[in-house]
Amino acid sequence: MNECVLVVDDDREIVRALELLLEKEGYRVRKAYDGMQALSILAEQPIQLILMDVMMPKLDGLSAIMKIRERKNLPIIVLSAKTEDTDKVLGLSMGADDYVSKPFNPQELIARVKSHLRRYTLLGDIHAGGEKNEIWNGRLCYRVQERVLYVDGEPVKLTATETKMMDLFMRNRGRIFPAEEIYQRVWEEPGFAPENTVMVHIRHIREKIELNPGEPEYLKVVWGIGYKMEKIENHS
Amino acid sequence: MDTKWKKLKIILSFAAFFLGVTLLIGSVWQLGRLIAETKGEVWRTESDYQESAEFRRYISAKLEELLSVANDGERWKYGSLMEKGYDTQQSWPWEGAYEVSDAIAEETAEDAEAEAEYLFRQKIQEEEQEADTAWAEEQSLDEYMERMERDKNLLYAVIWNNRLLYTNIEEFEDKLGKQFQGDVIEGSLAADEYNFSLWFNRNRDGKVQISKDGEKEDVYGNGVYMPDSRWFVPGYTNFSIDEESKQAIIFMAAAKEPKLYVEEDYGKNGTVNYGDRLYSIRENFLSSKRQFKIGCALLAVSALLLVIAFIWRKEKRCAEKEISGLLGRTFLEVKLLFFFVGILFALKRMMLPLCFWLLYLLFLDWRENRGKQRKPIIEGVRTRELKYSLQKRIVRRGRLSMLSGGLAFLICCLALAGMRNMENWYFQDKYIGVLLFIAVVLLLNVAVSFLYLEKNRQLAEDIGALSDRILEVRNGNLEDFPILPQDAEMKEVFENLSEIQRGMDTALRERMKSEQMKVDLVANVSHDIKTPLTSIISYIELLKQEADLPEHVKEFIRILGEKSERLRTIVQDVFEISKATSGQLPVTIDELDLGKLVQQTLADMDAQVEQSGFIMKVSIPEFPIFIQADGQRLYRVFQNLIQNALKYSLAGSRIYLDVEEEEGQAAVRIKNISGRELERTLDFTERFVRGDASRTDGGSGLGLSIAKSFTEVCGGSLRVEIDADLFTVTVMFPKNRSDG
Repeated sequence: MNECVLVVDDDREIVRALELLLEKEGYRVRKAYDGMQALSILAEQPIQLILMDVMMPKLDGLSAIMKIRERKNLPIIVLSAKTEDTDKVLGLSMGADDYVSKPFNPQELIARVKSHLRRYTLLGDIHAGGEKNEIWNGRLCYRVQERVLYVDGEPVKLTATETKMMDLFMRNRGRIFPAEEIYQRVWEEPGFAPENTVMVHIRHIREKIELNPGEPEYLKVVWGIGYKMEKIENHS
Repeated sequence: MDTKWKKLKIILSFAAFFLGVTLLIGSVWQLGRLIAETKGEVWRTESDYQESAEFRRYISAKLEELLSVANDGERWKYGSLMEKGYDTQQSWPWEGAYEVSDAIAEETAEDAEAEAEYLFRQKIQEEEQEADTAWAEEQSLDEYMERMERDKNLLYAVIWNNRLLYTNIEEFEDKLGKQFQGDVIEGSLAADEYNFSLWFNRNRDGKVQISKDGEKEDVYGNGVYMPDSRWFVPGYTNFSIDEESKQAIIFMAAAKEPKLYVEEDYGKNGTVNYGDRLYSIRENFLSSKRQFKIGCALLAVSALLLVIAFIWRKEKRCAEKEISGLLGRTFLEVKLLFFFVGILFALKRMMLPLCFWLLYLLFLDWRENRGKQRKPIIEGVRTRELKYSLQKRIVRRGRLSMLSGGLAFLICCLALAGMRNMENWYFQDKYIGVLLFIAVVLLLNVAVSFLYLEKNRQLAEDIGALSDRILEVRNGNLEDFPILPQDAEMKEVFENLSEIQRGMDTALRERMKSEQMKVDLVANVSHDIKTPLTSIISYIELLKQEADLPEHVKEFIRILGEKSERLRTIVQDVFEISKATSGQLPVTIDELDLGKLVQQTLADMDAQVEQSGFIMKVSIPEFPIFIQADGQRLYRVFQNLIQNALKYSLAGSRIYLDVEEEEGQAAVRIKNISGRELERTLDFTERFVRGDASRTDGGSGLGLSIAKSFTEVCGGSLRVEIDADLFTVTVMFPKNRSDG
C-alpha cells in the first residue's frame, strides 16, 4: 500500500481534514495550496492520485490538470463547489477522471479514492488487455461465462435474481428497459405492477456497486420510461 | 398739415381712380348701347326726328296700311289684305307700336328696381297682344280708321278713283265720298306745323314723292330697292305695285313736333292715347341724342379723373395697400361669399362697374395678400376644436353634423314653403333660384357632414393603429415603432403609449438584470457557504471516527452531522430554485409516461413511505399517459410533493394520489389531510412559506416552491387548493397529441 495522494486546495482546513481522513485509510498525503505548488510537487515526488480543487490562486485546477495530463496518466479527482452540469462536463473533458462536488460526503470521497487507486495500480493491465468474455463498464467488470461481477477488481456477491438483472444490464449497456421487460426477462413471466419489485432489486444492486447509492452512477432510473445501465468510458 | 394733405391726397387719388373707372365703364357701356340701338344714328348731328329710321319705317308702314285701306275697304281683313295687297314684310299696323313700347319698357327695365314690374308688364303685353290679334280680326275697318283719325300728328288723305275715301284733315272732312283733287291739300296745311309730306301716286306713276320743309327728297336713288335703301315704299324698278292699287292716291303729312293726344271717356275704356307713336319716336330719338351727349361728357370727365389718378399713382398705390390690408384681415369665406353674391347681382343687373370693382378687389387681394392670407374660419374652427378633449371632440362633431343636417332640412322646408306662394306666374322664374338655393344648402350640409366624417375616419384609423399597437405591447413587442397619427390628441395618446412601452421595456430589462443578479448572488453565496460547509462536514466525519468519546458527545456529533447535511440540501435547493425561477435551469425535455414516472417515484420512495406509517391510496390508469417533460426534474417534483404530504399529514390519515386524464390534460392530484390548521390566505408555493410560521418542523419551505418552479420549467402547471384541512396539489401537463 502506502500510495501517495496529492491534495490541492487553497482552503488549508479542507486540505488538513482530507489529509487526516486519507492517512486514517493508510495513504501518504502531500499537500499543495495552489496549482503551481501542485505541479512542482508532482515533478519531484511520485504521486499516485490527485484531489484537485478548481478555484485556486496562481494556477487554477483545470489549467493545472491540462498541464499534468501532458505528461502523467494518474487518476485525478476534481473537487469543486460548482455543481452545474456544464462545470462537471468541462472538468471531465479537461482530463479529470472524476468530479466530486463540495460539500462532499467524506466517506464517499474516500471510497472514490480507493476505487480509482485500485483500478490504477492493480487492474491497469487487465483492463488494458480486455479479454473477450469480460464486459467492462467503468469500475465494473462482468465476466460473462462465470456470471460474476467485479467492482474495482473485487468480485461482488449477488443473488440469483440480481445476477440475472446485471447480466441483462451489462450486456445491454446504455439501453433503457421498461420495468415490464426486465420482469419478463428476469422472472420469465409477465408481471403485474412490476415497478416496485424491479425497484427493490435495483436498490439492492446499487448498494453493492455504487459508491453513493443515493446518487447512482451506474444503475439509473430513466424517469417515466424505465431503467438503464449507464455506459461509462474508461479514462485510464 | 403735411400728413393731412398726404392723407387727403391718398383718398382723393383713389376716389378719382374709382370715379374715373366707374364713369368710363358706365359711359362706354351707355354709348355702345346707344350706338347699337340706333344703328349708329346718334352719331349724326341732326336733331330732327324725321331723319330717324324709326320714322321712315313708321311712315312706310302707314303708307302700306292706307294703300290697303284704299285698295278695297271691303277687304279689310288683314288676312286677305296680305294676299291682295303687295307683298309686305310689315303688315301689322300695331306691331311697330309695340316695338316702341318694348323699347320704352326696356329702358325702364334698366332701372333695376323696376325689373319685376317690367316683367309683369311684359306678361301683360303678351297677353294683350294675343287678345288684340283676336280683336283685330273682328275690328272693322271703320273702327280702325276712327282710331287713326284722332291722331293729328299724322294727317292723311286716301283718294280712290278721284274720290276722297278717308281723311283726318278737318278741312276736307265734308268732301268725304266726293270727287276730290288731292292737290288742294298741300296749300291748306301750315308748313311750319307739318313739315313732312308724302304723296303716293300723285302723278299716276305709282311712285312716292316726299317733301320736307318744302324741299323734295330723292326717294328712290338709283331706282333699285336694296335692303339698306332709305325708304321701303313702292316705285322702285324692282318694287312695283299692282294696277288696281294704282287707282289710289295717298297723302300723308307728319307733324314737326308731334303731340300726345289723349282722350278720356271716363268710365268706358279709360284713357286712350292717340298719336303717341310719332310722339314717342321723336322722344326716343331726342332722348337718345341727349343720353349720347351725356355719355360723351362723362367719358371726358372720366378721362380727366383717370389722368388725375395717374398723376397721383403713388398715392393711389398707398390706398390700394390699405384696401388690400383690410381684405387680408377678412375671412376667406366672407370674401368668397361677398364676391360671388356681388358678381351674380352685378351680372344680373348689368352693373358692369360693380363687376369690375369686384374683380379689381380680387386682383388686389391676390397681388398683395398672396401667402399671408388670414386663415379661413374653418381653420379657426379646427384650431378651436383642438381645445376640446378627444371624446368631447367626437361628440361635438356628431352634434355639429346633426345640427348642419337639421339646419339644412329646416332651410329647405322654408324654401319649399316659400315656393308654394310663388305659384303665381309672376314668380315662376324664381323657382329655379329657389331650387338652386336648396341645392346649395344641401351641398353645404353634405360638405360639412363629409368633413366631419373624414375627420372621424382619420380618428378611427388612428384608434385602429392604437389598438394594434396596444396588442403589440401586450404580446411583448416593446420596440419603438413610429406611427404618425393625423389627430393631434391621438398623437399625445400614442406618445403616452410609447412612454408606457418604454417604461415596460426598462422595467423588463431591469427585472431580467435583477433576476440575473439574484442568481449570481445566490450562486456566489451558495459557493461561499459550500466551502466552509465542506470543512464542517469533513471535520464532523473526523470527529465521528474519533474513539473514546463520551456518549453525549457522540450524540452532539450526530446532531451536527444531520444539521450540516440539511444545510447542504438547503443550499442546493436555494441555488436550483433561483435558477429555475429565472429560467436558467437547463432541462432536457423527453416524451415520457406520467403514470410510470409516478410509479417509479413511489417505488423509489417506498422505504420513506413505509417508515412514515401513512397509507397511500394510489390510482394510476393502466394505459400510458404521455407528456413532454424533463423526467429528472419531474421526479423531483413528485418526490417533494410526496415528502411534503408525508411530513404534514395528520397522523393516521390517508394520502391519495391520483393520476388522471382530462380534456387533453394529464393531471396528478395529491390530497392529504393537514395535521395543522392551514392558513387559507397563504400561498404555499412561495419560497420559504410553510404552514407553520415558527419553522421548527424541519422543512426548508422550499419543497412546494421547487415543485412549482420545476413543473413550470417542464411546461406544466401546479395548483394548490385548500378546503378546510384538505390540502390538494394538482400538477397538470398538456397531453401529447401523438398518442391520442
